[in-house]
Amino acid sequence: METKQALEKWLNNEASPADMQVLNQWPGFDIYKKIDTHTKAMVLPEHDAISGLKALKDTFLLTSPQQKTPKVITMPRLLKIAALLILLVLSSVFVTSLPTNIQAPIATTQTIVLPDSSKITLKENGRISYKKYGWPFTREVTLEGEAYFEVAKGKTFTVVTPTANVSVLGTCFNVKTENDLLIVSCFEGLVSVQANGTNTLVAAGDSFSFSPMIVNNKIYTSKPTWIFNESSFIDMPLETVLMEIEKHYKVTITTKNIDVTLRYTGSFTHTNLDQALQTVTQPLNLSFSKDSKNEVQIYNLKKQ
Amino acid sequence: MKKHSNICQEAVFNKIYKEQVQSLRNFMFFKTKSTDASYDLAQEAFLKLWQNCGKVAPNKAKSYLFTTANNLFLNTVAHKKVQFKFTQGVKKSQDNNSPEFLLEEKEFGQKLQKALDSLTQLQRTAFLLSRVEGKKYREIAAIYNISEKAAGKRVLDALEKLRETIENL
Repeated sequence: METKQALEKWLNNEASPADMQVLNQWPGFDIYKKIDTHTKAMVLPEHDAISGLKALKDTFLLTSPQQKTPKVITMPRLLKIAALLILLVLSSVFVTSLPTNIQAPIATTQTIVLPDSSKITLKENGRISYKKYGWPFTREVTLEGEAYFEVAKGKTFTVVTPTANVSVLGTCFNVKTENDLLIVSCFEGLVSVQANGTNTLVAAGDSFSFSPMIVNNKIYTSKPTWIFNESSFIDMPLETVLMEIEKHYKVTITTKNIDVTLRYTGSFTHTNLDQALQTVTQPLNLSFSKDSKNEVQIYNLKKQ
Repeated sequence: MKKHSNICQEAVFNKIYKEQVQSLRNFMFFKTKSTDASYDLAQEAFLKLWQNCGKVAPNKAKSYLFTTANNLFLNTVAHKKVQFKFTQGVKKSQDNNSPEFLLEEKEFGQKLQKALDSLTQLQRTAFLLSRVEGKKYREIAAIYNISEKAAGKRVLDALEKLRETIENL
């Protein structure tokens, strides 16, 4: 036991003289000692640190070094401030030029409150776009479809449509666009419409259709009727009215023995098909029948 | 703006190289029994150290080198059977150098070689680290990431096996 401990110490190169005495007295130690001396005589490869390091450096050149001190470009303080200002101005120009797009979903109106508390009520499928962040500088809205505007007093408010620019200072008005058709109805204040190079002023209570000819009609409501879920027509051909019903209720309307160029003035509701058909057909002495769910026939009883 | 000592600094790296390369080379030599292979492995371990210089703290460089070299060795597949060489004439300083004695010594050297071959690579390396390099159990344990006791046992087992083999030859 004692010899084993001494042997272990000797192997760990920390045998004391007492340990060595124990080991030397033990006959079995001779061979261990012999193994030890012989092993220690092993020829080791000499590693030349200088040439080895040089060889290593040559390989470094092939592999990219990991850490390079990054070059720091220093600027004069004034230039830094100038660069910062330019960046700020550029970013603000960029941000103000970003347009905001809004589209009203099918069968609902959507009310948008603009930054200056002007209000836009967008009819179904209508689409507007305006620059939210540039609003204090230019009050300009691009419109497709139909919308009712209540404009807060301030700078000139412009509605851009494919055919004309409608501009006001502060008023309530309705703009309807459909293909080439443009109808501007004014409910409060004064609206100026620039179309085809001519400037037309629409006063409160007037409604102007602009294509192909300028026609002036009177309006008798305080707001456009579609806001109350109604469509109203002033001296419009029956054909147009029926198309509107078709569009609104997603039905197909066929006519029989009817003069579709009859003029119609009135409105129909958006909530009940039977009521809507009645309000349109009765004043013109016409009858209607609903064949199936989506097909409506309109005919003249007296002529039959 | 005095930086901390970092292996990425060439002077620091050079110092570590000069301090550690011989011992690393020996370690690889015990494993491979090959002069060339041990050179390549030692150099490669230092290359790895340089490539990761930012990630290794200078005081961890030694253990990083030995671990890396060990892993690199495990990755190399075929090893040729090469035998160690021993210096002749260590005993010449002693007065007892009769032809019989020299013959006996030579025979013993051959036996030792065979015995070393019969050891496992792990036993052999641990034994040679202890004997030739004069490393303590603690240092061997650190290289292999084992306990000091296990390292001591490995060396002692190797010695026992060598004795048995030599006596039976």
